[in-house]
Amino acid sequence: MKLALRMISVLTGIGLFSGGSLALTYNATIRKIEDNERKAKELAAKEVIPGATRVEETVIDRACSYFKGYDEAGNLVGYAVMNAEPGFQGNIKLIFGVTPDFKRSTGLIILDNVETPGLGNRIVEEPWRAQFAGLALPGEAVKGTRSAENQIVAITGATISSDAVVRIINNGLAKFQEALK
Amino acid sequence: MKKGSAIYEFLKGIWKDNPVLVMLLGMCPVLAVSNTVINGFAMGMAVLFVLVMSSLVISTIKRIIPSQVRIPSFIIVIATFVTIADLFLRAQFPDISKALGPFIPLIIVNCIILARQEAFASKNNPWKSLLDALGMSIGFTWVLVLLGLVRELLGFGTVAGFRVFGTWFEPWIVMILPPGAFITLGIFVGLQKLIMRRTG
Repeated sequence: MKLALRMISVLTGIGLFSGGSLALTYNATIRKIEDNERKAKELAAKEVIPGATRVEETVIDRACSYFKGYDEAGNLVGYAVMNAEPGFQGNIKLIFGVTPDFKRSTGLIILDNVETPGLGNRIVEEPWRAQFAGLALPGEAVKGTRSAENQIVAITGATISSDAVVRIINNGLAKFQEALK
Repeated sequence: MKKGSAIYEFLKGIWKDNPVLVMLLGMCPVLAVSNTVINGFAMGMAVLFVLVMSSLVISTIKRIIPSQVRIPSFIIVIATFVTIADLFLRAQFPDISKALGPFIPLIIVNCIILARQEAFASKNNPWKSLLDALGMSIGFTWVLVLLGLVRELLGFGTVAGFRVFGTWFEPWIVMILPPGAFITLGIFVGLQKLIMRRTG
């Protein structure tokens, strides 16, 4: 009985101490953490909307949100859509720019991915991503050479990852247009 | 170096009882985040913070912990410091935190830390526990950084992000994948044994 009491009081004591110090640390860091996350997203959004100096985020659902991009004078210059869906090995989170008429993409940034290094992971490389600037939407990934305005060339050996990127963009665009209605 | 002396407790983790090369503990982060020098170093520093703080706390309060609940007590203390380290990294070094992903929270179940609490901090005074923790985490860090150096150099052709090999270099992709970690670690463990045998 005495031992049981001692076990309970020691574990309670350690738990209280632990909870207290975590609460303090959390309060001290949470603002900075949220700030970092917001800044990273906004920086990416500004990069994929040409001419945007200010962006405004609207959340669509847990995985998807869109940004309105404005220039210095406050004119709407384009949109950016952030979407996350499964790729080959795990979720790919990306953000892409959309022209105000929703017809073309203006750029792509991969925010998170766990694709195979050296193969699927090459979706983050600049030369491949550059294909998405000016791409007609909805897009399509093809092997070999591009023959239409809405096609991009898939990475050799990483067709699934390339297809996934295009699918995530198309689905994101659909969700975005649905949300705007 | 007399066994049990302060200097012995500090140095043993760095070479003779190195947690990675000799005890082969904490293999999960060793294999997963030693793909670049920076990742290896950041992981090592996180482990250093957690191990030093946990060892200090455990060796200080060891007398009041009933032995039946010692493991849960160790785990709560370790988890507290890991969460503090995780929050700190996310606030101050978001890029590193992103690169290390789930491996920071996973330090909680890293056996190096629990093993040091069970085998050392719960039986020794705070001063010796501090030296033991420092030695062990430095031993962990240098192996991770060296692994990262070899794997990053051969896998990306860079060192800490700076390009060393020119464009002629064809990266060995296998080195950044898990098999590369096993191969490099195996060679390291073998080399350590060889040197130990030579020097007695």
